[in-house]
Amino acid sequence: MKIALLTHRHSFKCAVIGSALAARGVQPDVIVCEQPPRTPAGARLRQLILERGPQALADKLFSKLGTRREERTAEPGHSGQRLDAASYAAQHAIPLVDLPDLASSASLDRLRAEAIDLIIHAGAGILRAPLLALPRLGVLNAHMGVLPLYRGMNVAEWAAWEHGPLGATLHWIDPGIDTGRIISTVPVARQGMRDVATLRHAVDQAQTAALADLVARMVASGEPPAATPQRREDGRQYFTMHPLIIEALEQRLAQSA
Amino acid sequence: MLAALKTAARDALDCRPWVAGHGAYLLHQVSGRGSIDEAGAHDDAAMRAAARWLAAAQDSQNDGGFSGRYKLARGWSSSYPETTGYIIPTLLKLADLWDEPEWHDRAARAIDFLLELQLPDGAFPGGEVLENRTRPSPFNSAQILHGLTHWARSTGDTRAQTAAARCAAWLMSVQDEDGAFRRHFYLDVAATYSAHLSCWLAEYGEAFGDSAAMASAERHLDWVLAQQDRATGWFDLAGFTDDQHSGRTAYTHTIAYTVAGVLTSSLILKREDGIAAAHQASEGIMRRLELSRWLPGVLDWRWREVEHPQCLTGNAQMALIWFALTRHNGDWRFANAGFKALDLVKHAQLRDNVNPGLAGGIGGSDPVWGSYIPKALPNWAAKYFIDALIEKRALLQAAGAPP
Repeated sequence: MKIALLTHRHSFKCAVIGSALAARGVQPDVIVCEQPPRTPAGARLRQLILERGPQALADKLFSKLGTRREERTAEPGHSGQRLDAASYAAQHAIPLVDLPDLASSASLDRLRAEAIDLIIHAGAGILRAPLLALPRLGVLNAHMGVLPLYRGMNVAEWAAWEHGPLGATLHWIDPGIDTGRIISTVPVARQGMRDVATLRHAVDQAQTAALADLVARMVASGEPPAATPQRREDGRQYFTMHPLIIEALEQRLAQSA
Repeated sequence: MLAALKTAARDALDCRPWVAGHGAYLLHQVSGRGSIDEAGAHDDAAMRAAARWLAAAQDSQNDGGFSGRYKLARGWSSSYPETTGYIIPTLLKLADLWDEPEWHDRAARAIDFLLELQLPDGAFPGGEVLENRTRPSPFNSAQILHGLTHWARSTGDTRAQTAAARCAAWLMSVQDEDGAFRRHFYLDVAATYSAHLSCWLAEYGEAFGDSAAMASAERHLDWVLAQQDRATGWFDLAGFTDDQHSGRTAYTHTIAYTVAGVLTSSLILKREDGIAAAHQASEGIMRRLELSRWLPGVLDWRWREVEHPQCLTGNAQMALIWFALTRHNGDWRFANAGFKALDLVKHAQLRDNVNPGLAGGIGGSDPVWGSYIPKALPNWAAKYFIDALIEKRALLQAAGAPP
């Protein structure tokens, strides 16, 4: 079974999933990187001036020159702690496919040529239908919330805020936002969640372990797992949690711990 | 290119950058605003500055009314009865919140101004006082009814209660058989944003036991609900103009009037279908804000951007609707969107300026030369901003968070 991790160059998630797979004797065959999403330069410039005024332009130019020198000296100290996708691929001798995007016909042709059986979503952006149709088995995702209830962003936090079920879900990706067929749900206990970081870490660990276990089973059996379709109306989409609600959640968690 | 430069130069001259404070205000439209205050550190200062701006709007007139807007081209406009009416509940809230009688006194002056203006048939005139004192407007009358109801309930002032009763009776007298309001509207065309008319009839009816007013509000609610697109939640006829009606677009200001009217009426009348309709529209607009990280000033029937500049009062009005939904059903996704919409309004506010017509005021659009109330700061934007900040504080307190 040919397995690809789909990520972007600066994502650390690829290394986390890769390591969990390696611990179960599975090595991805290829790492596919898309260019990280980037706001157009004109829009970034407008935002900078809007927030900080024209002086910010000069400040940014000068600081950029300084930062480049600092980054060069700082890099070695960080490299051993968290690996980005390219470093992880190099360290484990996994072929790396760099793509400018995941939607153009050139990118799709390049991926098609790889004849991938299973893609694991490991930090890439939103995927469109043509890409989802490429791998023989599909594109697998680990989601930090219990589906179908909690779709979208910051769902671990939202579930904690709403006193809903905490957990992670393994599912096949379809063109909707977290609406694909559900393979399994892994509950996470509420006890000991003293802050948001602990909460996120616990759910993240649960989803990574469950994902790696599933892939190991698939490699061993050569078969895709059973999955249950979701009904759109059974859940709702959540968006980035506002800092004031996060702050309130931090207080609740601290009080309940 | 040359034409664009000419337009830009004309726009800049229109804004009179040589008048005290105008230059700094115009610069603030494009530069040096600082980062968005998500932590709410400046909420109190922002509310205080907006309240001082409202006070300046009242003090700029000698009749007790609130100037409709500060125009960069011409300064303060004359008193605007409609919005003076619905500013009254805001002033009463500020008096309570800050325990400062000044705001109560300002509301009393506003009431005296309005009582002088009421027409013999119970209606109130539309527009600002310099342009009209005789032609009645159902929509504007209803916003004044809202102010009279709150004042009468708060103070027991029988003059206000009598005026409210006459106003409500007139509103019911101009309602059509099918529940719509057409008479005295522009070209006699009904609009669904008049949901923000009938909701004050419902409020008045509930406050003073007037079942006819409640029934009238319910008939209108039925008519508005029949205009909803069930697929997207959009309410047809929610715009200001024929072009907006036919293109199925509207400013967030009138969209919010429509949704707020439907929600307020439905909560009073206990109409679950109306609450569901408001919920559906609110969810579509929330999705637009979240995906765009911005609320475009004009939206279409699929809640897509038609005009990019924000309609700032629309942001604040939507925040109030989202907060009300969170209170009603405990769904904090709505409050989440409300906080973000208000952060964007706060980011557009210039709190300190030598000109009292600009300091703390809220522009019609962001940037201020957008098409909604262009190059001016309307008093209703400040009013809704204050209302929304007060409700934000209350919601966070109820959730056990720091104010």
